[in-house]
Amino acid sequence: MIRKIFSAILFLIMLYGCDSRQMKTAEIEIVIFSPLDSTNNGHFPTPIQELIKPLEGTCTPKANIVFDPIVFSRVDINQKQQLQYKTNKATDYTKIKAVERSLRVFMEDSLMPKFLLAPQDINFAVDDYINGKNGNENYVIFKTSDDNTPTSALPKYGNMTDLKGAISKLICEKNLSKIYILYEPQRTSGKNINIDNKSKSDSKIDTPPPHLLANGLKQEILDVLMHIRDTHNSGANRLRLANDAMHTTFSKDFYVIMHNDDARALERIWERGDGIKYLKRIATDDSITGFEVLKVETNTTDNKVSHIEIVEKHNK
Amino acid sequence: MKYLAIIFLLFITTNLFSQANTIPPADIPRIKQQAKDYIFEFARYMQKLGSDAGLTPEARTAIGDNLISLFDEDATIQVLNLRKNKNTYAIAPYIKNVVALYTKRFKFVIFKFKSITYDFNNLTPVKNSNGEITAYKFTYTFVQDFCVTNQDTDSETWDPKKLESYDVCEETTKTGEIIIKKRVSPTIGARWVVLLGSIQVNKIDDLKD
Repeated sequence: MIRKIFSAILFLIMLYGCDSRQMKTAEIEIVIFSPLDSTNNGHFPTPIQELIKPLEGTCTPKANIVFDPIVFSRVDINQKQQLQYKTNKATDYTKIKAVERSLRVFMEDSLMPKFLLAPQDINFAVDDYINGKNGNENYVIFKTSDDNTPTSALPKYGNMTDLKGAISKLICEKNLSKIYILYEPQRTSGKNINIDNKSKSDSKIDTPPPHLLANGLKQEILDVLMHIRDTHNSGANRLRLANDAMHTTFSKDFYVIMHNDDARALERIWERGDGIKYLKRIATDDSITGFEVLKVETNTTDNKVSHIEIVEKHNK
Repeated sequence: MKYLAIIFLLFITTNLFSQANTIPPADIPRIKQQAKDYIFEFARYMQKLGSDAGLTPEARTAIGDNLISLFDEDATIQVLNLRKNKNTYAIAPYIKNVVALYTKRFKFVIFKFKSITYDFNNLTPVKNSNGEITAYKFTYTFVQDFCVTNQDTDSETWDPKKLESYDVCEETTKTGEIIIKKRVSPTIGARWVVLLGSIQVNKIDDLKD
């Protein structure tokens, strides 16, 4: 009997002990040098989906590495834009499975924003980019072609395992908090090619189907709202999350249409600019059990959410 | 003949206006549900203001703002002071005062609705001086327990389950109005909205007597 109890305790220690690794975070910026491949039904290319996943059990002593925020930028277009994904916005940071699940929703359900697919304005070689920087210790090159031209002083990684090994080394051994991953273009291989207007207009961009984009956003908004209403968090923390969401996710003129429990009552509206009052309401109301996100709209200028329509569910 | 035409035109215009201000029958059940939701939200937040000692000033302000948004801007509330005199206050300053007062003065507040009766069958039109319908209203009556413990009460002997732990404990019967108004929302246009209206005190029983 004692042996059985001892074995059970040992099993539990093993089970939970595995998950008690130290959690490190680092910002990554994926710097892109040409339009991303849109053949994956408008979703992010598989190597990028793989690249942003947390690193489990790297470093000595073993630690998990979560990338936060994850930034996408393009250096080859005139209009500078960035996509920033805040990993901790929609998930419980301490659980690596929750981070992975949230990233999967972001990557698989969301479609790439248009600027990642837009035609190239300027041709920029990775090496020219690196040479223009003062220090390069936090840069890693990820090559997506078979080109092996020796170029900059930095090694190029074409294999995901090697690339991730290099990233974890920078974070674990050099304690770097931000890593730039230079996502090398498939076509140019370091040689400058002028793109004239004709080729620009000929580049065909698949427009992501709006419903797919909407589904990804709906899940993201649901995560944000659930996090704010989570009564396991302190009241002050819930209000902080509401204020943070106004900076990261929602636009200043954000408005809300809310239906209460299956639209049995008239809808309630928080007009343009009053959206923050709605977020504060869910941060202070303990009777909300969940939401159904019916509609999400974003601004074209900053990609922030300008309108949501939801069903609010309450304890009966 | 000219006068007849003018009278006819006036009749048509008035008729059209009153039709535009008629609540569609399909909306009536949703209005009733909205009224119930608002009353429960009102009770829930008043209770939270009184009993959640961990609320930060920002949370109290957020709750106060939400409470005010449930009420019509012209609504008033009748309350009894310690000398049992009835005082009437405009709702927004009253709620703002409650937000501040509950923290400073009371250690614990019970604000519990024991029963609510809705007089939904008497939907009354509200007319302006020109005889035009500007809103509708109906009433609800609720019985509420309102008990407070002052901040200076000895915390070691205090027990929320014991009546003697409260400095004031009353059962109050009140009647409130539900106002249904047409409002123009910049986002979705004209629509009917439900708001809580003025609240009157009917009867008070001291539970400590």
